[in-house]
Amino acid sequence: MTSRTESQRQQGPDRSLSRVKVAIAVTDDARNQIDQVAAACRRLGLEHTSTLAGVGVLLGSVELGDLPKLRSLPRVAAVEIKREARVCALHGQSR
Amino acid sequence: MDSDVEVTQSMIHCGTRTRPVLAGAVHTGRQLVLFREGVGRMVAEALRTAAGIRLAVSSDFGGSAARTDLALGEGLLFERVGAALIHGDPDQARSLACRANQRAFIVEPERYVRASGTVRPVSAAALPLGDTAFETWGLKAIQVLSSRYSGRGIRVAILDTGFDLGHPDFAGRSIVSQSFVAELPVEDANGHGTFCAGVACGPQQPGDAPRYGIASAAELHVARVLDDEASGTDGNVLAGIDWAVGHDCAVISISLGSPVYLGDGYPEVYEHVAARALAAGSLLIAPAGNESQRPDTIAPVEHPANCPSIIAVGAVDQSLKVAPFSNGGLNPNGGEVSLVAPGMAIVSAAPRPDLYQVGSGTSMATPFVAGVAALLAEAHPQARGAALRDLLLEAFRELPAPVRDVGVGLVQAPQ
Repeated sequence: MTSRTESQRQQGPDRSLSRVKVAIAVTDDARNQIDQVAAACRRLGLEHTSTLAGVGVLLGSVELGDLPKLRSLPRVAAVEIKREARVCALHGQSR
Repeated sequence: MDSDVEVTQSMIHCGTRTRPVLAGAVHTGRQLVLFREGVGRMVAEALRTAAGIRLAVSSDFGGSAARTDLALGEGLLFERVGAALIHGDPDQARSLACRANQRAFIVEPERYVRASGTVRPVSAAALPLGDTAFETWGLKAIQVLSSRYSGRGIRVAILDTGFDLGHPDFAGRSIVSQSFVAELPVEDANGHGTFCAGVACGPQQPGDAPRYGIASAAELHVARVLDDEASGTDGNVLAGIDWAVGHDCAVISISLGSPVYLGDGYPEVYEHVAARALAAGSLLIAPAGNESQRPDTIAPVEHPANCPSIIAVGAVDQSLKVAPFSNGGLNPNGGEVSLVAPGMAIVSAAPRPDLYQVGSGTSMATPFVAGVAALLAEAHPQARGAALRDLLLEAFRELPAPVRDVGVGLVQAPQ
């Protein structure tokens, strides 16, 4: 039987709709094992793009439906969908 | 009955949050105890009989101010605000609270507050402030010119739209830079990043403008995390924080955010990152946000400034009144405004060929706080991370405005 993740990966256009960028914080005691945590996340569908070892965070993308599985992984402290950030300025003008 | 309960070490620590004694903070030797809301006379009676402390109640003093010159073994209960001041050791204070069966409370050392003790505040008669030939109104408001500190030896990171690396006001300065935005260089095509770097770390004597920068000798670190339209993703921002922490930046200024709703909690990943940055000696400072339309609408402090481990900065205008756009501390657990800084009609650096620009927003207020944090870091070489944060929150001028809007008050430069 094809897993949900695998089937969605094969579905082309639908994939972009259900796939979200995520940031994953590992637990404090797992920061020196972040590569192992990353491997476990990849097995659950994480498309891993980068590791921020200094602050214990993994970046990547995942199917929306796979988020609960990632969140329940041991040594994962938090998983959040990345959002857009923008500056907090009203306006600027040349002086 | 509560007073019959034998106080044990485990009870003392159960449900008690004890704030650590902070490096650099000056303490009185007395303890402040904060109780849950709703503490009344019955609890006061229980406290009176506990641990041998002679406890007075502030309302017993009628219309006159309660005396706070307590002798050893004395205490004063402020029942209206659910707090007590106790002249005893921390264990005695915890013991009192446990006997009163008030489990949700904080015990912390009382500190000397220096709202204006080391600086000479701008007099109310001088308001509204304006730019002069020598300094912008914002620097005057936070007492930068009279400060003996310049941020020398302190690394300050600006995470933003990049920086004009060839700006003449920064000629000869050591600048470390990195872009985290794919296919875009550090060079700033937007101007926001150059503006923020200018306020935090601009020179003492710029070419053709009044002084606009604070930590003029700090080592500027620029991480480009936003694109030319001044937007980006959390991933770039987190990568920039990781980079700045790795470069031992004592101060990380991130003038960006995204709105949250009333009732929203803080982002957990950011909080983990900010707490780890603090532990590594890096203090994160972010804007409260500009979604308010005062006096009609006040929006809550934005993400990621709503993290408990990140300093949230609101903005004031030239009259030191809360800027109409500045968000307020509506959400609990980190969603409070920490302090405020100048954020209206601020002059700073602009990418060439303009060289200078004027801007408004909590984005502009944030690097004021970052610059002051760098001065404090120079003044207190041992204070980094949480200790620097606590020093920053003691360096303020009180303002006649709600804590919801201004936090502790207007940030002030060390003298």
